[in-house]
Amino acid sequence: MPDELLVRLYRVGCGDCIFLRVPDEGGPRHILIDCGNFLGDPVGDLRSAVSNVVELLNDPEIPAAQRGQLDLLVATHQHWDHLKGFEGALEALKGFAIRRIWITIAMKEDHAGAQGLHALQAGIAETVKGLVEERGRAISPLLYAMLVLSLSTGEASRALRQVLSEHNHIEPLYVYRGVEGDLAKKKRASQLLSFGDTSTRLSILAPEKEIDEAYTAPATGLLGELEVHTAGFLEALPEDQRLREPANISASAFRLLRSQLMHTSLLAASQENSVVNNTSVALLLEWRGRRLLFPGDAEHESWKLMWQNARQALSRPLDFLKVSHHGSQNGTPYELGDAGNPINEILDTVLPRGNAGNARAVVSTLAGRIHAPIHPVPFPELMNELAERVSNALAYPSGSGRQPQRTDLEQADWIDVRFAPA
Amino acid sequence: MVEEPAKRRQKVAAERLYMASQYLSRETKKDLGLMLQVPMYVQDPEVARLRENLGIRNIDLDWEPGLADGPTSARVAVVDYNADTGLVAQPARWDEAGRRFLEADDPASFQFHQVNVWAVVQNTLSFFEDPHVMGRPIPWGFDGSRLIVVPHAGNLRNAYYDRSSKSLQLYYFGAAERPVYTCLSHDIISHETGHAVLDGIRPSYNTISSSQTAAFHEFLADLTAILSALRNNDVRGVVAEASGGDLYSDDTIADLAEQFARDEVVAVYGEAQRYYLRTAKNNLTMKEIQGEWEPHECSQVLTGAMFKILSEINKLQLADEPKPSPAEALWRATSHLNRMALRALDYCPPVDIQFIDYARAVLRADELAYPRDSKGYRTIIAQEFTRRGLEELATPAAPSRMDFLWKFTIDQIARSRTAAYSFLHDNRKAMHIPPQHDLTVTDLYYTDKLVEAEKCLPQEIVLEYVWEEDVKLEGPRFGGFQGQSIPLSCGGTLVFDGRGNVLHWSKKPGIEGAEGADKQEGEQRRELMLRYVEALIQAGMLGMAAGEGAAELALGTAAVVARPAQGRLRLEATPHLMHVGMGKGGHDA
Repeated sequence: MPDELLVRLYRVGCGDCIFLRVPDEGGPRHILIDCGNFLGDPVGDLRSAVSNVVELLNDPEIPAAQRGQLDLLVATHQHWDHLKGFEGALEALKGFAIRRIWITIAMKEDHAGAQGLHALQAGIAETVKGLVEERGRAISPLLYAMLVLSLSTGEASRALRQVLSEHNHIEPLYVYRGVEGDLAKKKRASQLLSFGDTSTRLSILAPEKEIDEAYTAPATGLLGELEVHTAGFLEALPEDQRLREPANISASAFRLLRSQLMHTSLLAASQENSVVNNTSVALLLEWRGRRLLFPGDAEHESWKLMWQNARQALSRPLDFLKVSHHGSQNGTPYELGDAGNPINEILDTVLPRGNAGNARAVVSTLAGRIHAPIHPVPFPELMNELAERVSNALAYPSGSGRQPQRTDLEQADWIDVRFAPA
Repeated sequence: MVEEPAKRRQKVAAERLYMASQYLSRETKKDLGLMLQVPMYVQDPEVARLRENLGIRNIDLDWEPGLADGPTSARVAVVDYNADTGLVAQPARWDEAGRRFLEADDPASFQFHQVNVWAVVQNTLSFFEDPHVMGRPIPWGFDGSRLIVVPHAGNLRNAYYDRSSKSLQLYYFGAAERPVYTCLSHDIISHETGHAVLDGIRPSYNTISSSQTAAFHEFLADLTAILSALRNNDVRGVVAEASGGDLYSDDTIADLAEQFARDEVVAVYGEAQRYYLRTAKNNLTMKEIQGEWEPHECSQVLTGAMFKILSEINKLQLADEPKPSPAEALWRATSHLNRMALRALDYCPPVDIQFIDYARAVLRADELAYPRDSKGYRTIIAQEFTRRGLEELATPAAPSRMDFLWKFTIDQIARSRTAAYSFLHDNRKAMHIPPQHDLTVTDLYYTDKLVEAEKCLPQEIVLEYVWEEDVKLEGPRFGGFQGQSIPLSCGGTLVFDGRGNVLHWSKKPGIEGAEGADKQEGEQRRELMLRYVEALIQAGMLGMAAGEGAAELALGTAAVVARPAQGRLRLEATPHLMHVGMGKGGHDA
């Protein structure tokens, strides 16, 4: 078996399914990060990806004692494009032994530090349900995918927490930055992944344990702001001038109108989507002088906290970046066209422009799935900017300039990135 | 209840006058009580803040039978529903005896807001329908005849025309104690009304074909805002006075949506003397917008060109002998511009309009209204379009009357879409329409246009026809839409005089069954469309439409949506593409 680190990013549509083979003393260790894709993407792509994982795990070159084993399965956050396969490709996932399952702490139902998030999710689900049922509003497919399905990833979550855990006789571990220290105290260190080679280390940089404190403020703030505005509007409208229905159009025309009007509370709903992205598990893998970062769908808020709380881990250039959030504008710590923005320091440190020859990045994405006005994914100018910082940038025939390798534009079922020891 | 004889006589007299009103001048109608005096902001509230005499003015609108609370008229119904609160505000009440809307005197009241927004929409629509402009009733682009206008739709920094709910939606934003109401901005309301009017005149411009077609909608909406504001005597007087003959020296008209832009501009640049969302005072050329897909950005080339043409015509008018007053000169210049810039719409193709098609249509509209061009306006127009990069201004040759087979007379054709279809079918060869494609006659109408001194132009008959061809989206560049088919819209607009002579022909050829130059043009159009669709996908502007009865305005709906229809995807602009425009706007410190 070659002494090289393999990162395989599967083409599954707009979603993440990432396999890692990490050479270690006594044989390679294997990690699968997420297994999901977007509402309109076929679940068959996820099954094919998992079948390939089965093949890789049963490579005859792997020492027999480790063959057919996955050392770690990670579910970075509660979104369909990261979890769908845990339900849709469940049978295939039962085709090998899983030694550890890590799930973001935000998904732990009884976690005291995430009760605000859970209440926000329930409240938004209720608002959306109300708009659909009471006002006859149809939700756009994107919003539907983002909200209704991300809030009801119940089956996938259950498969992770119960089915796969029981099948493998293990307990899932809800992870956050600092979980390693807390576990050592509880003598449950076996739930962490340690390596025989002492130069290899897998660190958790995000999320913060106190989810509400760290991430939910923007969404709850927006809801609060809306309340103030509504109160202000009502103040300007005397009570005797408030009617339930207009008299100058028909009831059916009014129903149509009500169903079509923009409802501002949905803006808050889109914020909830960002909150959940920010609860992504972000992993830094250090292997024989190589540094690889897998930030899930972390958005700016999470990057800022990583920069603040895990600066040491991010203080040197990376060899590999899994571009966060499928290449969206808010997934990479860089403000385009705003040279002085302090957040740019993060990207300038982890992927400096002057170091392009040594770093690689891959975007797991599919154009046309998530679009404006939420935020176009992937974001073209960001792709061009990242291309300036990596060695594996290409000018695809479709134009749009040079970009890092993209799963949707490659003519293959996966993209392999290999590293020799530094 | 028995009506008193005097009242009854008065009512009968009013109805008779109303029936004669199309033959009466505005002044006569005013004298006879056929006009209403309605209060409204004649310009943006930010302009009103700076210029006292451009605040709320009583404007004259046509009286019509059946005016009602809301306000509600034949074509417009104001419904003051707020999506955030779920409440409807009490409508302004109509007092038929006093011929006025009640409770609308206090500018802070919601009833004034309702009357204001109604008056601007009504005024803009009547501006288009005026015999000096389009000279015909303008339909809306949806099934039904009444546009719903929502003055306080909710808390959002935007305004939309939404075909699917037959409505204009005006939102409010800013500090809760001092919100900015978009329903008070003449520019924003007339801009959105411009979208609604163009959607009625050319509904297929909503089908996505190229960045210029989307941009054309924005251009026409901005042009509507500028020209409809200039319809007001006070506004014209102030602009004529302040500009001293050079329209570039004053910002009142050229700058759009000043108050809307203000907060954002202040936040980004600090307090300034001047704020605007967009300005017609620009020198953008086609070269500079190459590769740009954002319609508001692209639209500025045409807006800038038309403003420049207005300014040049104004200068020529001022130099006329005997010398007119600045206000009189501006009146003549704007009247002339209305006649060519808006009438040009009748000479535009039914689908896939490009800026060059519009430029040709403007020149043709002017030529038909003023065959002699004694003042050389057409040279000015052509020079300006050329300067902007619109160079091939000659309209391609149209077939002659003698080339056609005439089973029906032109009158019979003008009265029946089926007869019009039959005419087109019989003349497919002359019209370059491939034999295998079924055709739809999308519009058919007469015009009754006037020029100065109420002189009639010869009546015109406008016939529009459309067909569609399939284009496949092949390759990963189309992302999640790979493998789907979309239509290439093809067709033409034929303008006849009363004897069947072709006055203008604007065509959009396809590929299948086309030959020679047509085929080449069809292929170019397909390539342009594919590049645009790819750009939309890669820029994240294209998404799937929601299902039946779905909310086009729901957050998460893309600027352009793909809607499955007849085995392919129809790409349509949503209100997210045709809103008043986001962005920071501009400023002068």
